[in-house]
Amino acid sequence: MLSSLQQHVLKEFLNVSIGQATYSLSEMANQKIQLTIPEIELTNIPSLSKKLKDGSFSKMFTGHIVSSSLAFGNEFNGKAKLVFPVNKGKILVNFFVGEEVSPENGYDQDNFSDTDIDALKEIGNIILNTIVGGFANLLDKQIIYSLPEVDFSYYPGQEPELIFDVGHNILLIHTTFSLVKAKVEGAIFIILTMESISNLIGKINEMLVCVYE
Amino acid sequence: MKCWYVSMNKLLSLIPDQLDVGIIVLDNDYMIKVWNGWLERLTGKNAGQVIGTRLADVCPRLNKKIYFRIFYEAVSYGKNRFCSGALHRFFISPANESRCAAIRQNMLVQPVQIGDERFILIQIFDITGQHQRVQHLKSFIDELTINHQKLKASEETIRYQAYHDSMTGLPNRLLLMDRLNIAIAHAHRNKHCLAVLFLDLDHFKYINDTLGHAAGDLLLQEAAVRLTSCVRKSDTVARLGGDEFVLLVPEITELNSVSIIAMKIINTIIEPWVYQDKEHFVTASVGVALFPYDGEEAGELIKNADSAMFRAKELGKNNYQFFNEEIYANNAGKLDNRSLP
Repeated sequence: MLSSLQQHVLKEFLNVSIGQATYSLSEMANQKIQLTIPEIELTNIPSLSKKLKDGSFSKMFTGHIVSSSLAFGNEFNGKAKLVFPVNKGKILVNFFVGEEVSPENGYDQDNFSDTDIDALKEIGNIILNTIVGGFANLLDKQIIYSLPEVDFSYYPGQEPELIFDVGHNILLIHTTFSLVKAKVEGAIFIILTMESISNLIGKINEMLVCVYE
Repeated sequence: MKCWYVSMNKLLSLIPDQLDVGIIVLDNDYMIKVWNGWLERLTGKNAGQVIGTRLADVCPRLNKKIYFRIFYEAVSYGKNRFCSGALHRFFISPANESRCAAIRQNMLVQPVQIGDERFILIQIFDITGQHQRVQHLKSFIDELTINHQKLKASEETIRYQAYHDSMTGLPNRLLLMDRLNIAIAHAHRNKHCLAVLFLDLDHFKYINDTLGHAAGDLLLQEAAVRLTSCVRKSDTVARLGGDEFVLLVPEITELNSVSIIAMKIINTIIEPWVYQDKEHFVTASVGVALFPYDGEEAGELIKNADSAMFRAKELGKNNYQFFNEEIYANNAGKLDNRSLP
């Protein structure tokens, strides 16, 4: 749904936001963290369903997942989710709260304490605020943000329609956290209304015109 | 109507002090506009003292770049921000500073706009109890894990002790019988021959009587080391008790190799043994029984190897004997596996 040029511009733009988020996260963890976005694409629910079952994300989404999400609205509407397989999410939290990071340990939902959930809520809050805030700045729109939430779900037991319940256009951002002892792969889903996605694509096109004129 | 409005306002102004969370409202210069009763009780600073002062002056922990950025983004871009006690520990210090180590707080920062005026609403939630419960649970789980590991280790020790001789560390009769039964089943299936060598130290009683039991124990330990060095890793050296040892040598293809092992054993035992700076000499008598020729069951093989060992003793000690000399005489070379039952 995005041309390679549009993808390129969006990725460049997101890299700036991700850079800011990485700075905040490193500052909070008191350690260097690298956050990269190797893949980005705009998709819809039916394509996403196929992608999560067969594509490069299929390995990541084969069981329980944990997501930190926040909704945003007013002049740019949607919901943003930072999603990890439960095991990876726990490894990330352990890193931030200063507990042992054991990639070989198989963590499940029961290993998440209330304070772990709070930590993941904040991590998601930082990253998603920066990305969504970046879009708001780019489009010069006023946004009202909800409070972050953390929830657990089971994929593929639950269909994407139930997990990504708002809108049909999804900006799918593959993310990799490089920590000292582990690599944590996850994904960011920005679920946007038709109007919001049109505004975003329109802005990307404007930027492309500026570059090529 | 005006009266209702006044009483509603009065009611609303009372509510913040009744809440079980800390409420701070800042203006866009980060000056404190609201400081509720919960914070007064926590910090010992009342609203009259702090209203109109800068937040950073009242709460030194919030005088950091990271928090200024959060407040700035709230007032400038309308961003909400949740800060967890798991990552920040706490935000507002209690009056009793000794509580700082244990206290945990979450903080929620939200923008509030009234007309053109922007404010920052900060809520502080005490999660010390929740944090302590999690920590207790974690330490309980750690304790359980340690106990489980200890139990596992002690089970392993018990299992080891059940199957090994405490004096020499060699397998005991129980483990020998187990291994011998497995080796017999394997030999039966693959039409292999196996050898059981029964060894008894000659004049061990004399050593015990003259040098003492401690010397006898050391001799047994030394014998165990020497016997182990004579065989392959896949073979078994076991101590049955006293000065009796049994060697299990599976997968024999040549009878000569059994003779070579028996000779090696005799030669290694006869090597001088040094005790209290003096050299002592001990010999061994060995009896050999072969599966399937001398028995097809573990007990029978050990019994026959024992009989052969007695014959070796009768023949002057320090030698080895096959249970059935005829077999050795007829099969001095390669064993013919095809003739095995």
